[in-house]
Amino acid sequence: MRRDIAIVGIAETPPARRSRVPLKDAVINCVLAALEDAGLNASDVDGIVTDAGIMPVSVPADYVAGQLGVELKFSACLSYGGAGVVCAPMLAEEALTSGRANVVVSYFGVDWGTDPAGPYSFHKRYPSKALYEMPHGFSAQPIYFAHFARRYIHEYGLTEEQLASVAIQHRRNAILKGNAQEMTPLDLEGYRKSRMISDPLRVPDCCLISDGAGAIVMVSAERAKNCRKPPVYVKGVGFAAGPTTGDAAFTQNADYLAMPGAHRAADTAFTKAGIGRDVLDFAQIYDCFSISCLMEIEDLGLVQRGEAGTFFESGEASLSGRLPINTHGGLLSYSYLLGIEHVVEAVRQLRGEAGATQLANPEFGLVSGYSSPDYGILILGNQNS
Amino acid sequence: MSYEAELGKPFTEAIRQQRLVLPRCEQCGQFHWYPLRLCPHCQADRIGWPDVAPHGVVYTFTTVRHPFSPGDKGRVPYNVALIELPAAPGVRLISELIVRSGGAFQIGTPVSAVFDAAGKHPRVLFTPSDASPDAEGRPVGDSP
Repeated sequence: MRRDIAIVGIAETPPARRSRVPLKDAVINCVLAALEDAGLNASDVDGIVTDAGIMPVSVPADYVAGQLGVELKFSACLSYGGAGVVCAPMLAEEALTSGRANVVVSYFGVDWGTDPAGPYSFHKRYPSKALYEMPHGFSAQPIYFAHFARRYIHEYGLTEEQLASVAIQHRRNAILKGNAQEMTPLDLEGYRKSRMISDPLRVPDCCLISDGAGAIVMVSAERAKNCRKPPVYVKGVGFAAGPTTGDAAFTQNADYLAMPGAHRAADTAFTKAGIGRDVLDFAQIYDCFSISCLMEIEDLGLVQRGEAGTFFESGEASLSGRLPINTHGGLLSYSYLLGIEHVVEAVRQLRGEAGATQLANPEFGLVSGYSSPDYGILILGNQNS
Repeated sequence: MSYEAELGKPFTEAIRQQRLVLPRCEQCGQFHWYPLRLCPHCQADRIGWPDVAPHGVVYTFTTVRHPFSPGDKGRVPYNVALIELPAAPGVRLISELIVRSGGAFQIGTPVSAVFDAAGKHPRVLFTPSDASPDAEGRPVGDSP
């Protein structure tokens, strides 16, 4: 018999560039709100899972356990940002199905809107970047992804209109959502007038920078029946990393335009879920840049290589399209909390709580998390079969 | 000196002599980048640093227009490219691309190295050359 787990509680802070709420307060507020959402108490928590790179330094598990006044039976970390956030249920599953823990909380937050040096701080992990990249001015993620975009245009003939359609679609969803960080209307003309950051990427092609936090609560499928909200089941999780050091991951991969690990992570998650890609009702993709969103949906096998631009431009990724992508507006327009909001929005969709961006009766949703050379895939569903 | 800087010392020292050397495994013969103690292809620990013809082609590039740190304000716009080297398959070098006023380049443009040992971190820069490199990485038309 399969022993499944479910997400039974969610919470997030309102999207904001600067929240004026200290990060530790934001995280604790979200953890408590997610427990409330689940109908559980702080004292029920006996497991914590976070990413392994960012939270252990800024809001470690022991701090949260101390604030909640709980004795942990399980604590684990994985990857750095995106892939770790999205794969938290993989670690929770281990604890919940083995009986090591009964209620596992996962949280993530950053105050990079207040301290914009945050996203670049990961460079410090990689001395080779300081030696061989930064002296040349190859020193920030928009530059790395501009390189990807230029090569992608060269190989697949991606047009400016197609690239723009990614940013425009995300903005449309964010405006409809109503509480997103960036809700200025965006059309092709506005896109063309926007500031160029690193050719061919303009401001709307780059993710926002935000303050905030989010949290989810996970329990066994059995226990989920007694929680306050309808359970959202973890159908399959996949984690994979490319055979490359983190410093070389943006320049040396033989298949330059593929995200390391992405395809294998997706295959693992779909196999575990026992479903095909064709039954997905929506996908929340790690859209750190417009071009990364395009590369990722190809890597995950959701569209053919080279066809992602056409997919977006023709409206197939819109809320009424074949596979709606980033229904909340994503990292490009909703908020940039490295994917925790992608998970929260997926749960809202599967509960029927997504408000103006609610899809009609979705049953399966995918969430992807990227932190090169790691990649994570989470498939969620609202039926326990 | 960091562990990584120590590993890459042959590269930086060669720049001071106007030469390009890159790490190649003496067991399997494959190049790798960035410097590692063991060959990432076969895990042998005998890594040589052969001279590599300092000619390549632009694999991809961008023109950086936003200064990401205060120190970059006077620097933008600048071109930074990823360079493939026919003489060192599997290696791509990040390089600020030095382009003469009015000079054009695109993906596939042949480039040649310019050595800059002046700064704290010695750099191999590339600039568009007038001829394509041949299989050994020499610009076509150069006498051997």
